[in-house]
Amino acid sequence: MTPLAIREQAACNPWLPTPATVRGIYPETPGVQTYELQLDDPQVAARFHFQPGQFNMLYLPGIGEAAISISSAPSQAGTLAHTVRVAGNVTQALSRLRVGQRVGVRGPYGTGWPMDACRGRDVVLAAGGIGLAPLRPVIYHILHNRSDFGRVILLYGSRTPGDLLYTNEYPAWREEGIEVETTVDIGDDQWQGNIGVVPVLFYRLRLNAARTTLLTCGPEIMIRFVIFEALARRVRKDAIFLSMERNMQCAVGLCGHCQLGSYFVCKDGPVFSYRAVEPYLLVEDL
Amino acid sequence: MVSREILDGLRFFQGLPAEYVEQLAGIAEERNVEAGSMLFREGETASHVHIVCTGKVSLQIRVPGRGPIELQTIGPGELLGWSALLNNGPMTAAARAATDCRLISLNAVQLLALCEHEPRLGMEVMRRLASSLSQRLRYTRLHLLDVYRHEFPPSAAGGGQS
Amino acid sequence: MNSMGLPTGCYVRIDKPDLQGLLDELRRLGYRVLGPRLSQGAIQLADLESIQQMPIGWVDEQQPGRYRLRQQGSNYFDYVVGPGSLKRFLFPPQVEVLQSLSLHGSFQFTAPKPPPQPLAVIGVRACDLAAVRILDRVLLEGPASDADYRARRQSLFVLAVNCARPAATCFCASMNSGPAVTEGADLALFELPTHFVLEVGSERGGEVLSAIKWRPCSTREVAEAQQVPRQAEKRLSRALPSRERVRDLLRADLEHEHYDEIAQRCLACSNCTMSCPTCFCSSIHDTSDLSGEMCTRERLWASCFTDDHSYMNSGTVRKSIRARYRQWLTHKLSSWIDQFGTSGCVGCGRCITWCPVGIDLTAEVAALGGTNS
Repeated sequence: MTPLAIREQAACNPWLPTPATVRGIYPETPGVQTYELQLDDPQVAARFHFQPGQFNMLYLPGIGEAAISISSAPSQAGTLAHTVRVAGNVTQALSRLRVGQRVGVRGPYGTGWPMDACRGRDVVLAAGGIGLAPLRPVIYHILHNRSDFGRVILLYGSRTPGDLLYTNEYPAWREEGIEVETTVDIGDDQWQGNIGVVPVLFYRLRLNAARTTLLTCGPEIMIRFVIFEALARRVRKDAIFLSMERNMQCAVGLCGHCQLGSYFVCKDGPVFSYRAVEPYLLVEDL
Repeated sequence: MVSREILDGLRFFQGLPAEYVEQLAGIAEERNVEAGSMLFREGETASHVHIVCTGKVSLQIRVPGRGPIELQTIGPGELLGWSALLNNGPMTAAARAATDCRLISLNAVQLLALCEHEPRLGMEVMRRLASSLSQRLRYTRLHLLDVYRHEFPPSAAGGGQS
Repeated sequence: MNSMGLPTGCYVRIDKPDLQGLLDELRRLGYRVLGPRLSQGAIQLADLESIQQMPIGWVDEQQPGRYRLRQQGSNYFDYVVGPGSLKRFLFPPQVEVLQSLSLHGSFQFTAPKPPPQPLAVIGVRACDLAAVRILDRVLLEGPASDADYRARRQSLFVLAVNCARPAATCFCASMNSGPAVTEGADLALFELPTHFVLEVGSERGGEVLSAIKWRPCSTREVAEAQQVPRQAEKRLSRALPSRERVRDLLRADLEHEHYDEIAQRCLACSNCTMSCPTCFCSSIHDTSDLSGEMCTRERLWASCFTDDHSYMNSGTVRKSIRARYRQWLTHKLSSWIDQFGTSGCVGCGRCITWCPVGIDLTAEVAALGGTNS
């Protein structure tokens, strides 16, 4: 099939994936690995551009698809990183892949983090657990354009020290002027760092609230409490952005599963401004 | 006795009339504590209320058979040792400086006397204390919820959670 | 352009038996012809070869949770809508959307070919046409479109029928979707006691019609025909308030205590979503052959009333029936408007008739704060 035909077909048929090869597999923490995928078709690869915060649907024929955030730098050529936590059938199957094997890729989908809205401002990234993965491209974007941003602070929490993601990158991030504060729920014998929840890290910050933009991703309850702290400190509602999660199957607003009120999380999100979703967050079981 | 400027920089004292801050500064002490040293131990009678300026303090409880378990880290702007103000009973947790710390400490007896003498100041202090406790409780609850639980397959999660 | 075809907008009159000629012409043109047939105690769309297979002389009685048929008179189209709709054929309950072949260590992905035979449907009502227009917006006009739906939709031929009477559960007029057929039909039929009047709705309709015996209509005959749906409209007994009013009242209180009351009755059986001509939720199902080399993805009908509809690894979002009913109702009548610019409801009444416990959304909306006149 010629590339043009593929493109046309994709425009007509949103279910059509493109094959990609696993070029690297990096164990991160127990149950979590990062896959570097290279799109096989060079023309498709050349046209693939994504915003920090967007996701791909990774497809294993016969098993299914999983929505996985892209966790590499948008400026990185060649491969796309996906940090995957084993959760269900598809991610289990993904975790058994070896370098050189293939997956199907559909994407990129969804709204990205508002990098333009962060320019010239102080940026707080508040993440929990696997929620750091969709924020890592933001960090890379900031590192690439450091002078476009003011103070940049990463607040990150996980269950145990062994579950903190990307710890080997923190020194490099700190060197570029990103403040990194971590916390865990349960320490271990070696842990000398903070014990407690991510919102407390926010509480402790000295902030210029009017100049601050908050980007947050993690368990929904953690997000809510982080936002609670941010609002208490007078960070503006339209300067708060969160990444929501819902059951996603088609990723293009056709299957109906991912609805949150009037929004389809797959296409109107997953990144939302707080102002947009505030009324929905307050309703139970919506 | 500490300078008013130091207290002005702490959230606990924000919004207090200058006169009250002066009075509190008059009974406050600045303390520098080395990493590793104990601020107070379990079972001790509390004598001071502390506010952390810089550094981190680790709250611990000794569980028979398990040793001291670190529960929470207390950081800048947060309170420690409030039981001194409430019932003068023994501390139910120990506090160990996790890093070098600078604290503002207020002697409980003096603080209570001040509160009795100036009821309005007393109300402000108690209100701030309640707010601090409320925040602590909120985040202790969030901590208890074990929010990353679903990120672990049943075999890896402790406590038999699925 | 076929100069033989009757012009769009013109009205002709045919004898009732000559409807068979239309059916034959459609089959001659290669259409698979569907029409109303009596099956399993209900009037459902099925393959039609002869007009004698149609439920001539049958009338339906519909109430909340009740559907009965009885014989009365000898008209061809005195019943209204049955449990099924065009949705079953344009958006089938089970359809393949992707094939994957393992090949040389990689995959070859192909989209299945659309069904070769175009559909012609006889007996479509105005509400169901309105539903198709709504589905067009959802499935064709977003950032992505459903290729299978598009293929089936493009080749669809509709011979619509103007309803002569409503069922008790119908409320099309208040949804601006009937009883008169206004757009979307290739041919629109009016049944009079002695003959049919057909209005040409498209070039294709005009061509098909020109193949059978017809007489031009007098002005009086046209007026007589147009009265048919107007008389039906007068007999409607249910209504919903205006689209904006319903949207606003549902938005205003998502925690209204009346949802608890509904939850006591609703069984989450999903009959409403299956019979609804606009519900479009679907799920993807993956299968493979024995060797694992040939895999397919199927799109299946889904319903927001099921346990797994909102399931995520971190838990199910809508665990209670209360939450699910609220989702269905508020999506259909409120969020749909934000999403697609129209209401999701066409007032066909199927959800009322086919609900085993007779939940009537016009009554529920009234209880939630809007009152019907």
